[in-house]
Formats: sequence, C-alpha cells, structure tokens
Amino acid sequence: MTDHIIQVNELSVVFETLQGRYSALDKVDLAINKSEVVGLVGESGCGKSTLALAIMGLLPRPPAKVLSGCIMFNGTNLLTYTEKEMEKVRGTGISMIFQEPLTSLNPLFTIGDQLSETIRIKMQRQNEHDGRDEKKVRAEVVEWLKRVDLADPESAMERYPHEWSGGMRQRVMIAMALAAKPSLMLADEPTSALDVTTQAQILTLVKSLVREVKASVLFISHDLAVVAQIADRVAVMYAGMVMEEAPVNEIFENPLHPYTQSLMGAFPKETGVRKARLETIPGSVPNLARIPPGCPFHPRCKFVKDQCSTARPGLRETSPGHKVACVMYTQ
Amino acid sequence: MLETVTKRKSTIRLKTLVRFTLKRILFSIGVLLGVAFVTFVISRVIVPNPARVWAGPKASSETIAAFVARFHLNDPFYVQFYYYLNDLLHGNWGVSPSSGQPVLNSIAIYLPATIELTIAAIIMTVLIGIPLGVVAATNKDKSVDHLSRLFSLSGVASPPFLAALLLQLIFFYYLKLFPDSGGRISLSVTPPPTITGLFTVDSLVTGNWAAFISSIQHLILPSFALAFLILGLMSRLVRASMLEALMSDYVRTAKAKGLRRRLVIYKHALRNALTQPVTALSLYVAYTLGGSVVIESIFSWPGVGRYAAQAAMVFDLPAVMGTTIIFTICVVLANLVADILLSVIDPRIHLR
Amino acid sequence: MSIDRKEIALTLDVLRRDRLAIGGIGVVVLFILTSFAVLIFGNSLVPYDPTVVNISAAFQAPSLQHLFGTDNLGRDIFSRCVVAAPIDAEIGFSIVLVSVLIGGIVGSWAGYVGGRVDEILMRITDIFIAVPTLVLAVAVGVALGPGIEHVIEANLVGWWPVYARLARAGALSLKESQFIEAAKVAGLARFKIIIKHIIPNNISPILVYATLDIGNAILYASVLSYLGMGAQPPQAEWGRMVFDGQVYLTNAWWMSILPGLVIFTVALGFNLFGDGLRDTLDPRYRK
Repeated sequence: MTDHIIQVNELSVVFETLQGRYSALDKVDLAINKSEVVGLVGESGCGKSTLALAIMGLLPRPPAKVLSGCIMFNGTNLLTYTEKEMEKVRGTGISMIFQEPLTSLNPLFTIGDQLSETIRIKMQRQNEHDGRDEKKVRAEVVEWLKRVDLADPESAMERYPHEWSGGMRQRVMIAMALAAKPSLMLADEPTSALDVTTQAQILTLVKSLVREVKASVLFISHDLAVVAQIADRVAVMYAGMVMEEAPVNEIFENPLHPYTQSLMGAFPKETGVRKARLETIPGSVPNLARIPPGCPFHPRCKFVKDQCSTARPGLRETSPGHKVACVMYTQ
Repeated sequence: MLETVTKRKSTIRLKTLVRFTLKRILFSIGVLLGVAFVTFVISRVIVPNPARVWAGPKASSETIAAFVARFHLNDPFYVQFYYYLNDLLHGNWGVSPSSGQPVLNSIAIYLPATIELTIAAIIMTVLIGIPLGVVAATNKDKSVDHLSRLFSLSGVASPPFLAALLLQLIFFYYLKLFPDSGGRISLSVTPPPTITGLFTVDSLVTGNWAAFISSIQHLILPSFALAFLILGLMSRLVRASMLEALMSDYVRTAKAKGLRRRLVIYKHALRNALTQPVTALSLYVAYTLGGSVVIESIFSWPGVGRYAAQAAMVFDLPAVMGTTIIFTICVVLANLVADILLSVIDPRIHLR
Repeated sequence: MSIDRKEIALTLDVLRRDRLAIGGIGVVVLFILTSFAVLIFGNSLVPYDPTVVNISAAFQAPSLQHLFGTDNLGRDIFSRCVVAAPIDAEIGFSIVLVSVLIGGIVGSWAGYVGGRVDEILMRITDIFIAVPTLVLAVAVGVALGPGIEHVIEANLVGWWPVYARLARAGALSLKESQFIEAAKVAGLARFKIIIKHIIPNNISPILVYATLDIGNAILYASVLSYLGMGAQPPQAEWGRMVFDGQVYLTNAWWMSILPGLVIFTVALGFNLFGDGLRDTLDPRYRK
C-alpha cells in the first residue's frame, strides 16, 4: 500500500492568460503504486491532461504556473527539478503517450528512426554500448515492433507515419513509450481517436505489455467503459479536483460521489433503484476562470446542501481504498 | 531479404520522383509561355509606337518600315505573337539600340557573373538567416529576438542602393578592407579560363589560388549587399516556422521521450521548419535578381542586372525585355530545384 | 473575422506594448503629415528653395545651416527631401490602394466562384509571381516612358496578383461559413454576396499586409526613380537624388546617403507598423 511509484500532493496549477486566470488543478492528491493501472476519468477540461503534463514537466510555463504542492517520484520532488534533470527522468523514468498519434509523430522521419531514438536513450542511460551499436539498436527496434503486433517489422521500420492507420501509429507510440522500460507510463486518451475495434485491440496490448515491462500506468480517459477494461483503480476528476477514488470494481458497484453517480447514470443504493442507461447531467462544466466557491460541482448536484457553496470538501477515506470528496460522507 | 525490400522501396520512390519532376517541368513551361505572352503585350501593345522604340530614336523612316515588316507589326495580334514566340525560341531577342548588340548575345556574356552573384547571395542568406531565425525562435521575446527583428526589418526596408553605397563607403574608402573597388577580380590578376563562367569555381578547379582569392574578395561585398535585402525575410520565416514547430505535438513527444534539448530543436523542430524557406526559395531568387539591377551597377559588377540598369536609363526596351525573360527563366528553374529539394526533405510530398 | 470593439481594444493593447511598432507609426504619421504640408504650403514650407542653383554653396557638409548639406548645384538637400515627400507618398499609396482594389475584387470573386475562373486566376498569378517584380516594373516603366503616373502603372502590373491571392485565400475559407450559407438560402445574388459579405470579412489580413506593403511600394518607386523614370529634374525625388549624388560618394557622401536614409526610414516605419499589426492579430500572441 505504501509502495508508491509516484505521489502527487496538494498540486495546484493555474494558467495566467490575457483573458484571466484559469484554475486548472486545485490541491490534487493522487498516488500510483507499483505495477498498478490507475484510470483517471472526467469530462474534457477537468484537468486530467494538465495533471499528466505537470508530472512530465511539459506544462508550458508561462502561461502555466504551479502554485503549490509536490510530485514525489523516486524520493524527490519533480517540481524542484531543472529542465536538464527532468530530461533524464523522461523516457526511462516516466513516459507518455498522447491522443492523436498522427500529429504526435514527426512526419519527416521513419517510425524506425523515431523508435530507435527511445532505444538509444535507454542504452545511453544504462551505459550500454552508448547507443552507438547500430545493429543492436536496430534489432531492438524490430523486436519492439513485433511486440506491438506490427506485421513485417523490417519494412515497417522504413515507413513514415502518414503511411499508417491510426491504430498502427498508436502501437508505435506505445512501443516508443515502453521501449525505455519506464516505471510509469502516462497515457492521455490514447484510444479516443480510434474506432471501437481498434480501441479494444490497443487496450489488450497495453494491458499485456505493461505487465511484461512491469510499469505502472496512469490511464486518462473521458470514457468510463474504456477505463473499466484496463484500470485497477479509478480516480474521478471534476473542475481540477479529485472527487472520488476507489478500486475499479468498487467504483462501479458503489459510486459514492454524486458526480460519479451521474457519470454512470446510477442512483445511490438507498433508493434501491438502479438505472442502466446514461443520464445527462443538467448544467455544464464550469468556466475554469470562474469556478464556483466551495464544492465546484454544487450548482449541478442533486443533493446540494447549504455548506456545499462555502466549504471545499476534502478527500476522505470512507472505506479501505475508497476516498470521496463530498460533505455527505464526512459527517 | 531486407536488402531487396529496401531496393524495391528506392526504385518506387525514384519513379514517383521522376513523375513528379516531369509534372513540374510541364507546369514551368506553361508559366514560361504565359510570361512570353506578358512580355509580348508589354513590348508590342503597351508601347505607343513599337517600331520606333525597337529601332531606336535616331532611326530613319526606312529602318522603321523595315522593322514593321520584320516584326509583322501590322498583322493581327495572334500572328504577331506567333512570330514573337518563334523569335524567342530561336534566340532572336532583338537588338539593343543603345549598344547595337543583339540582346541575347549580351545576356549570354553577362549571365555567368549574375549567376555567381546570386548563388553567393543565396548561400549567405542561408548561412546567416537560418541561424538567426533559430536563435530568435529559441529566445523568443528576449533582447536577442528583438534585435534580430530590427536587423531583419532593416534589411527588408532597405533600398538596394543604400546598403550598397554604405558598404562601399565603409569598407572600400574608410576601412580600406578590400582592394580595388569594382569588377569581379583585380585588374592585376588574370581571370581563370571559362569552364562554368563562375570565377570562384573556375579558379578553384584550375588551381589558380591568386584568382580565387581575388574573386572571393570582390564577391563578398556585393553578395552581402544583395543578401541583406532578403536576410530579413528568411530569418523571420525561419523564426515563425520554428515557433510553430516548437509548439507542435511531435516536439512534445520528442521532449516526452527524454531527448536532449539540442536534439529536439535541431533534429525535430528545425527540419520541419525548413520546409517553408525551401518553398520560398524561388521568391528569394526573384528578389535577388531584382536587386541585382541596382547592386551590380553600384559595384560595377558586369552582370545582366547592370546591363538592364544601363539600358533602362536610356529607355532601351529590347535589352530590358530580354533581361525580364532570362530572369524569369532563372526563377522558374529555381522553383523546380526547390520542388525537388522539398520532396527530398518531406516524404509526404512525392510518396503518393 | 469581422472587427468588433473588443477586438480593437485588445489589438490596441497588444500594439501599445510593442515599442518598435509605435516608432513605426510615428514615422508613418510624420511622413503623411509632411506630404500634406508640402502639398498645401509648397516651397514656402522649407528653409531653402529646392530648385534654386547656387554654385558657391555647393558641396557643403551637413551643418546647422544646411541640415543635410548641399548638393553639387548648391541646393539644400534637406529642403529637396522634404519637398519630394508627397511624390513617393502618392506613388506608394496609389500602387497599394489600386492593387488592393483590383486584386481584392478579382481574388474574392475567383475564390468564391471557384471552378474554371479560379483555375485561370491561379495560372495568371503564377505567371506574375515568376517574374521578378522589380524587373517587370522596370520593363513596363521603360515601355511607358518617364512620368509619375507611368511609375504607378508599371508597378501595378506586378503588384495586384499578390492581393488577388490573399483575397482568394480569404474567400475560400469564408465560402463554407454559416452566414454565407444563410445569405445563399436567402436568395442573395452571387455578386451581392461577394460585395456585402466576403469582401468586408476578408479585410483584416489584407489591410495588415497593405500597410507593410506601402513601404515596399515606396522602395520600388525609389529604384525606378533612381534609374531615371518617374519625376524628371528639376523636380526633386529621393531615388533620383541618390543617383545624382552617387558619383560624388567619396567627397560628398551626404548627397546620396542621406536621401537614401530618408527612404529607408519611411519604409522601415511602414514595415514596423505593419509587422506589429500582424503580430497583434496573431491569436497565439494573445494567450
């Protein structure tokens, strides 16, 4: 339980623009254990990608600014790292894959070239041949392309990203993210741009590869069904805050937070009624420049009470492994 | 097995490259025809009295009548155009009334000098403009960026004669850094034998060290004066495309892979950023050729630009028209080169 | 993109922070005011008569008496530069304005209508882009003969295609937008759509480019005048003054360099102004 690969504590991030200050993350707490897949769910704009980019140190600053908090990885706070130190963490410590593989791959270089970059970095950092042994690099590239189920790896290497389909490109990205054997892989909506069949294939691939490489994953998605297939634990975010966190079965059988419940279209167990179809939540996601005081969800909440508009609820553990941020459960 | 796969790939790529080049050549011919038509309109239709202009202000009425017959000036326009095209293709570009020489002959004599100057100017633009643009992009909004913007804009806003005169004044007369003032080579040095017509190349190839040094010395100032005019365009373009590349998803991926900053900038961002300047190459050549009209005059550089300037000052139309045509041909060729270069850099273009 | 009040306020705000652009605007305003002043007050505006020959005062270096020195005929160069301002102003603004008009209309029309017309326009602009604009202007200028109107016409030939392309690009992107669809459904004639909707919404990028471009037009005009076209002596014109002074470069550098610097400053002003304007309209700079 205390075997955390990474621990995010009270992380607050804002974006300062000419139009105003956007609060992207508000005292976010999140921990990921060894060999665990954590699903991060929420509507677009809730801060999930910001969290991932913050961990990678890839937030554009300016306009982004870290107000408070720390990101503990391997015993050090990543937020204190210089750019050069972060470079050394990326790839072999923490890696990331993105939603749109076509724009995320450099169109002017072959996929073999781009994959060998990752492998060379791994070799350099492990002091293995300094990455100069071309034959060895090439052999590993071929091996990884095989591992992500790309047919005919030798000729696949010479292909350019635009020659491939979305699913194949995403496989290449996964290979690039895992070839350096990182302890943590951040996956930002990797299947959202793919069709359903390809989605399923990619999810299975990620699950098996991640187990082989013994990496942890932060799997970000707006789609609960996708997360259900791959995650061990799920965290739900809304307007820059973590609202609920629980093991995957627990969160689907027993969602506590009103927001999580509406995401799943389910009523609380007390009424004894369970609706199967998806319910649309009235209202819309708040403008991050003007987040409502107290609990950000209170304007749309069925169970809103007076204190919801004044006090910001903290994440409390209601049962082992299950945390909620709602006044209903902190009495 | 791997060998044959790569060999098959390169033959496919070669075939598509050839097909692509042929298409571009066809397109260029179309453009040249269009230009021929435009020059035809200028020299026959716009000019109030073409025969008089072509024959020169001092010509007698018999000469003028001969001109009218020779150029079919009383025939309908499409007939005239046919003969005009015919003349162009056969090298009859008219006779310059001010020099008395056939236009094409003069141009052929002066062209190598202009080509040498243009190539040198483009090389300088690339060597100075690209690093300047990269530095400005990677240091956005810092003083280096603002300084480079001022420098770029100064170049673009500069009338060609100002830069040339200032350079002459400072380097020839005050600093006495360069020997002689005009021409391509010192009067005391024998020019190299004509192989390419480019003094620098020819002297290098024949091992004539003195000629090489002298021609380089004479080449530097005029080519810098020319380069200065378009440096700004190049560096601003590189800066803009670098900024775009640096904000792209693939650069984000490169950073996420843990690549060193230098690799991210020069391998990933720059190569993508260079596609835009390459596309603009023919534009740069066009500006350089335009600028050569003034620059060559001031530096006494015996090229087509100076030929055109001297002709313009005495309102010698055939010479100026000939210059227009040859310069356009150069731009079209540069465009072809740029297209081929682009398809080499960017695989998305010819792999279709 | 139509222009609304908030946009203008934001643009002005970003522009205000750009000191170089402010400098540019200052130069442009000074140039325009000077030109108008000369047109209204004529030679009485300047300290010395620009046409009077005074050999005894020839080749004087710049001093408090003669700010820019005197030329080989003893004429005050500063006075001649001031008096020459409206000529380049007229040429520069005319070239750009007429090009915007012709190119804007033709380009918007071709872009909106598409098909054959568009193809033809593209081929035509391809031709003009292949010819170096300066050489083309010189050629037409030589064909037409000396005179200011001829300089304007000569440059126009190669100038309008760029605006045609700009307008066409704008029209293409606007073609698919909602309110154009609405206008079509309302039964508005094609011609009316172009005039009322396409052109007004296309204006900003064209305007920005045109501002920069006036500087270029003045540069080209000065080169043509340097080569002997345009205004004829004794009328002062900047490019002509540079040519006349060239021969005396070593003894009297001010004769050619100073008018050249005047041209440079005016062109730079327009460039800084237009450049700053373009930066402010770039959405990325507003984040």
